[in-house]
Amino acid sequence: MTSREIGQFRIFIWPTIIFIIILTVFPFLYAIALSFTDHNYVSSDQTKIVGIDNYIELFQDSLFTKSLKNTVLLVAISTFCELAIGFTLATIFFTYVRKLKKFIQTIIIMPMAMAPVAVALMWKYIFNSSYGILNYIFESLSLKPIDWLGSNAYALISIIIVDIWQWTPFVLLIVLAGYESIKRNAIDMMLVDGANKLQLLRFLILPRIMPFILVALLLRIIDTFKLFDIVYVLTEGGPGSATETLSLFGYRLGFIFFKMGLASAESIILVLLISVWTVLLIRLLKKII
Amino acid sequence: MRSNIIHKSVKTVAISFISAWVIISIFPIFWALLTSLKPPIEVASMPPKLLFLPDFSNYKTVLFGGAGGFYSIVQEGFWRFLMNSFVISTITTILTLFLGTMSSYYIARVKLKSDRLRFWFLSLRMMPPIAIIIPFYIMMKYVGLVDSKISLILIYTIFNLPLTVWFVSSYIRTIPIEYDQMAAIDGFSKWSGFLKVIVPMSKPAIITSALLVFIFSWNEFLFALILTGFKSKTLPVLATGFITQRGIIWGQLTATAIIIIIPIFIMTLIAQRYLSRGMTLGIKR
Repeated sequence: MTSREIGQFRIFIWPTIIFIIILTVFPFLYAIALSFTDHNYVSSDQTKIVGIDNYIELFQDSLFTKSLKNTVLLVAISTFCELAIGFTLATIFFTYVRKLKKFIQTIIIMPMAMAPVAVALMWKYIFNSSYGILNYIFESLSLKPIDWLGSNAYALISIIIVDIWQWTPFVLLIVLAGYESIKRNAIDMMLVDGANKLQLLRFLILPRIMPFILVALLLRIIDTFKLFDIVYVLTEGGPGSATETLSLFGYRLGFIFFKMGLASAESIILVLLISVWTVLLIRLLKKII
Repeated sequence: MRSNIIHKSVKTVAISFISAWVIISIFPIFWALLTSLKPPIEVASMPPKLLFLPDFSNYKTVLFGGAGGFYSIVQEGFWRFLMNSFVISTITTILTLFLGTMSSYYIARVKLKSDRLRFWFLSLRMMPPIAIIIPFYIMMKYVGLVDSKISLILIYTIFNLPLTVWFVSSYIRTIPIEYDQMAAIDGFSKWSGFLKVIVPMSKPAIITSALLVFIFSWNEFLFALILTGFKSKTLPVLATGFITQRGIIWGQLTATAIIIIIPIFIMTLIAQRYLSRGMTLGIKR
């Protein structure tokens, strides 16, 4: 392509580039700058540059370390369960489901298309300690009812349950894509050659679906780090700080206390935590797509 | 013989596992629907009533206001919030597809460094909303756009451009460049060739992206919570308003949740294939 032709093409990209520079790149740089100041949106005090004080303050703040811990715990447990269940479901779906394929897939992906707020509201009713169906089931099985959203131990578990419910289908879809990328006749050929099922799994299936599993894992890690809606509706971070997450804490700092400087520092930490996984994801995607 | 029995029982276990998940997937939706159709007094009855005369009073109260309505905003303006959600999602979809398809054409055709550009776009998608919203809020406040639909449309467009570019550009790549050359020979300018040849041919990718953008904008909560006030509030923000200091009005709340998911429910039924592809970054075909 000649440089004149490339020049003619530029008109197609410029609007987007300008848009992104004004509304993404600039705000992001602004956030980095803010994170080194003590900017408070509602106070009339002059904003001062405070260097890395915000970052130091955060790591000394027990609420921040608690929300960091909660978020990491959420990411670890949710993604692990989603991966395990999603992988199992995809394997079953690929191996055994012949009839009603479209129907089952449609029902299974329904939760992840739904508004997280709507999902959380539905579950809030299910988890309700006095008239929720879950405790009703527990009681009819003569188990002790649980204060799902109101107790330190179970609030985080409740959030994990909802996240698993909504996002396991995502893992299923991606792993299924992995399975579908394997040619049926490749499987048949190995079987003709006398391979047993274990060998089939070890030498054909696993190597093919592994990259897909990793993509699912990374995308779930990245998204769970950002979890906000479900927590906001189910527990608002409570009881106490039992379910405080990084996004929720940042929201509170910025838009309840209007400490924009501190909130920016907090969000930059979240960006750093996520960017590690993003880099890995992009490398992986370059390989498989 | 024996291995046949083992095989059969494995199959039974497997099928029951996936059936169980289907039931688990549908149950909360079913339960919310059931609750929303209960007369207000039955909602809190224990044990939960499964047999009752369905009653649309919760929907009536949410949609048209009325005696049982507790939350004044709901009585005054549900339709307005529904329209807000609809207008914001629709305009976002159009704007995103307009910008996204154009830049996809560039990325797909100008091979120079464009792969890096494509992945850079994708990495923007991974950015946590909370990191952008703080400066964005200050900017919008500065230009007086807080509590207007425009601010939400702008930020939704930004958050959806990456995926749109990702999909549409990989699709345009599969269209042979000969089509561009033919259009040029027929006297089309680059621009009209793009509009009359490339855009119609990229329909599948454009539909996938449009669905995703619409659903994202319809469902989004964090930005809407921060950027909207009384005037431009969207449905998800409205729905959380049912959680009040004095308790939760379950009947109306579940009715609202059902109203929010109905359009998405219908879209999923109609376009399941497109959606599956879209939600998995195109990994699932």
